[in-house]
Amino acid sequence: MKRLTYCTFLLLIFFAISCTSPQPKGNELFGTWSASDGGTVVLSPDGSLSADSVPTAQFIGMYENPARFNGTGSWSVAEHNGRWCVDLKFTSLSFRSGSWMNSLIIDRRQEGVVLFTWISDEGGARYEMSPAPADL
Amino acid sequence: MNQGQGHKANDVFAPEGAWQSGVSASKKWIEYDAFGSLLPGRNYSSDSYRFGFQGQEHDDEINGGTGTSYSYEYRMHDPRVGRFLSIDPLTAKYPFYSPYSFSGNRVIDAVELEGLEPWTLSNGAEMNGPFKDQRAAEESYVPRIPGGSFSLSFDLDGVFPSIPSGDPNPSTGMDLGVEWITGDGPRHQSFGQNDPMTIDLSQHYHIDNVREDIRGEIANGATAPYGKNNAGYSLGGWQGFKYVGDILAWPSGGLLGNYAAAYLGSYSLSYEVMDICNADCYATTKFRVTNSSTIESATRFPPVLSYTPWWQENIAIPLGNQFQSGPLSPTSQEFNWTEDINLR
Repeated sequence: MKRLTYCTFLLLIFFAISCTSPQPKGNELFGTWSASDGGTVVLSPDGSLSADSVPTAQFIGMYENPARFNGTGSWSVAEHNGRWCVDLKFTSLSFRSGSWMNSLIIDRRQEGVVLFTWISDEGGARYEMSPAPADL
Repeated sequence: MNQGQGHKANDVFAPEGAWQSGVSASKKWIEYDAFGSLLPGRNYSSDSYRFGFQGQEHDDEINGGTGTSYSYEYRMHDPRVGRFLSIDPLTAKYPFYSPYSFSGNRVIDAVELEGLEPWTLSNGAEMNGPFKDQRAAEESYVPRIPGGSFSLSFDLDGVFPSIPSGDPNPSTGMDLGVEWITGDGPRHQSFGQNDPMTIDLSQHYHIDNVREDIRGEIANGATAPYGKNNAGYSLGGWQGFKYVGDILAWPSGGLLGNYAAAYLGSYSLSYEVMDICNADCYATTKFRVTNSSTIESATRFPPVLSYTPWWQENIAIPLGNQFQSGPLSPTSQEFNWTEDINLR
């Protein structure tokens, strides 16, 4: 019985880590993504992006003021640390010069795809963005 | 072992007014060997007087004997073996010294600078008392960041670069752990350019990898100013096994692994490259690392499984809700430093 429990536990771990999601398709990601706090990101099919009123702490990290910013730039899909992500490259920021890169992790759920970034620690609370109603 | 003639308490380290001529009138009359160990039968000290070798406070409760442990600002010294009990915060600066050596084993021409490094007579040290400008000397040490250097002016005869003003934060990972477990101490700590925790963290291999990424980005045409978020240290999935390497710092006394990373676990990192190829082709880069210590993050010790949503919803969050204040309640840390990354 102990051996069976041990094997089941190992299988569960293997199952948990071997389920790598397939590479997301572009049409899963095009459109407007919104968060519950009102921040939105628009990912266009031509690879351009625009962000409106997104939280500086979660998207920039280095700065927390102003609390929110707008920006434009480009986006692409890439795999980081075994997870598919949307890479955002802001070439224009509303509060400072220069460019800035950030990534949103793609999370596939039964109810659909969600983009998120960790608010603080990895594995903890998330800042999540879902497809805006018009894009569902 | 040579007797350190300069370390007689009766003419050396008793503060003003504490010593009067003659044994009977003094609160302390002690002769030491060169590393600070008491010479048998050649010492006297009243119980109320706490200071001794090199003006440091002795802590006799640690080893249970008078004068067997001295509390330097950064480390504890055991004079019987002439070694510190923990590694040198400046060990990266002195690869040729054992990280536990006392005063660089230079006990004749130098005194120990508060657990940091030897401070020689020619630099203003005095055998017969607390040496000149001790505080300035302590505050003038600057972390040696691998792969980087600092664009700072030099003073003190070119020995130490000057540093920005501000109180240093001497907390170690052990201190942070105790504060988190007991619920005592600040719930948020900030670490700056010169703090031992920052120095330790900046030597973590992940930070080295980020430096290499920055070199690659610049080689591919990135122009300053630019920045990146989400460049943190991830321990999700199989990467959780990397943590085993970090915590080797504890059993190895810091020879392996990394103390700061062992405490932090995964951490968030963002950086901003502010200037490229200033002077001799360096990229001046600002780093910011943030971390929170919660019971939730502590439950993520098992690799792989502990980063799954199931674990988060059924183990981590319910447990975290039980510890919102007091012992094991959330604390947070922030590290900020700037360095010049060599692009050559």
